[in-house]
Amino acid sequence: MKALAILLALLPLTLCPAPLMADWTRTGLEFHEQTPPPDPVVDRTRVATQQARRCAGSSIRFGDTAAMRGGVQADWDDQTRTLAAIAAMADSYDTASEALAATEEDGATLDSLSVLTALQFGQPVSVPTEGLAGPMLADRLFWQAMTQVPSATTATWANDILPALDAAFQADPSSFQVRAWRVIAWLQAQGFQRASCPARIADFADRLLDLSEASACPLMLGHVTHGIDRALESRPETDPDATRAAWRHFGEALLATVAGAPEVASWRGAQLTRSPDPCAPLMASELQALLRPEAAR
Amino acid sequence: MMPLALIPAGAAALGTALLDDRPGAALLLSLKVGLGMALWAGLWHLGMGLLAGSGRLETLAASPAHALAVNAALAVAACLVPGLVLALTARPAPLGPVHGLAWFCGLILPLLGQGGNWPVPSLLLAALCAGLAMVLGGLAGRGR
Amino acid sequence: MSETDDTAALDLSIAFFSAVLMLFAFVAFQLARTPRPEPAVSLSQPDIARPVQPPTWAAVAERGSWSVYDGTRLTVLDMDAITAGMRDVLNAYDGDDGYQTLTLHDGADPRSFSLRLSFRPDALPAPWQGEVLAPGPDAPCPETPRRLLRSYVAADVADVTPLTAYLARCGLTFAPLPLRDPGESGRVTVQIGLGPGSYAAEAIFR
Repeated sequence: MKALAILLALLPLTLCPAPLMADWTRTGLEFHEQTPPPDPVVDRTRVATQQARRCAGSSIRFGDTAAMRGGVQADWDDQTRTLAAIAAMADSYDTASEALAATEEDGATLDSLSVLTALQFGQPVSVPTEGLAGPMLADRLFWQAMTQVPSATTATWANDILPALDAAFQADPSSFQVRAWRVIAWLQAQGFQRASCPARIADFADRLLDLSEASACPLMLGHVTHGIDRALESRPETDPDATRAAWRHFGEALLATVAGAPEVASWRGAQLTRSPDPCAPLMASELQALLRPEAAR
Repeated sequence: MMPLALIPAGAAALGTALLDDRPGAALLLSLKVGLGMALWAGLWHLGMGLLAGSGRLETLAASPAHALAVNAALAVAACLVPGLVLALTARPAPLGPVHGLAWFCGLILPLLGQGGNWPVPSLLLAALCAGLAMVLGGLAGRGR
Repeated sequence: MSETDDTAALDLSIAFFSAVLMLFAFVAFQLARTPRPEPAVSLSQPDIARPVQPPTWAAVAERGSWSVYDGTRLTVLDMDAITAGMRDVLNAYDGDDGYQTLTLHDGADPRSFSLRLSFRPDALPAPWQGEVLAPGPDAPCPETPRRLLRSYVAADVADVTPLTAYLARCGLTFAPLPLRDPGESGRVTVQIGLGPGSYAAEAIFR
């Protein structure tokens, strides 16, 4: 035994302080090799921050227009408000559009209201975006993207809708609907993603963490995952697209980790081991790494 | 973990004291074996420190087989002195190996296993050291 | 001591020792602790009774028609009459069997409002009645402009399955809004509105 010979030879030697080689490490009375931890793909600090904040509120707003979210300041006279209320209550598009056209005031907010009313009634409408910035532009880009959703192919999702939603997110980070639909659009477009596995996982995880930044509350995130299921018209277990199902398992597991439900996250991670997607093993190991410090706390 | 080490040792001492009509010898044996195990653990720890500080591990690749070899060699080397001491101070008393195993479980076993992971080399090492502990206990209980 | 006593004592001591050793083996292992999650604060909608945006699972809310169901009759509301009353308070219906009141709120969005309607579920004010239908297997379908029908269901209706079957046959989506028991006057009062606090429950799509 080479090791024994070396040991007996060095016992009389005096202690020379020297650092232990990186490969060897001591635990208790045992020497063993130390596996270097892989570089984390999911942003650990963001996950930890959201887990600490849990159900505390954030600066993200839920309104359907910039004005409802508090992104623009405006004051309206009673006549405009009455006409807008009539447009909100009406059940025929003609009544609503006549009411909005009868307002004496003007501006981008009322134009956005006309566009939104037309979309709510299912009327075809063009969504102009010139000359706008910030929350108003975010709304228009979002509605533009939503008009393309009913007839979108995977290519449309990847090349038109996803970039529009990302631009809307840049324009107004406080809009929750944009953050939610960035996740859905990524899932719809995931067949077109060509980057490496770590890059894709990091991108998807960033979108999910943007979404859960609104609140890492279990009720909230359960609502979100149900909304995603309704938008994709399937559960992750019943998704006919197996690779997309793997990403959805990962998404729900990450949201469960952030919301403080490690049992759900580990069950979803176990589903990933049966997936044919090539990125599934990296996703599973990332989830395990995220769950380990949680369990040790 | 250390205070828990008293539980199996106390149980062994008590059990064998119940058996024999010389409970004093059994308790003395338990104490000697316990001190012997503590000496073994201390020398083992010292050996680890010397080995780590000397940087001799560079010549070895950090694979499980090499790690097992190094750990086993350290264990054997460290148990020579306690074994000698126990053999020289032996008094006849029953169930020496049992006391050895009990004190091993209390003092040394918690420090093995890579912090709870227990891969196969750790299991082998623990089995080897358990055997050594029983030998030491047997040495201590063999009378003249 | 006799032989049997020795053996018995040996068995006892070994059994005792083995039991303690097993206990120690369990204790010596790391016990993983799962942290107990704190009970989560729920995000409830701060403005109650503001259902003007129907909770459809769509990115842009789908508009619907309004109706009242009292167990036997489905009355589709004539929104033209109600909106005429909103436009000009002199046209707002006000009587013993019902009234409407519009309150405008401050806010950056011009749609911040609250409309209060008071009516008897079985006898709505005449101007508000658009169509009166009796849901049944052979009944004609409502001629509503929208495919979504938001129905106020009276409190004493125990079973809405006739209504849901009828609406499914007509290709309409049923969005129920339960009513409270009528007060002493026999009327129920509902509040329909919109404000910044109206969106929390349908957070995903707003």
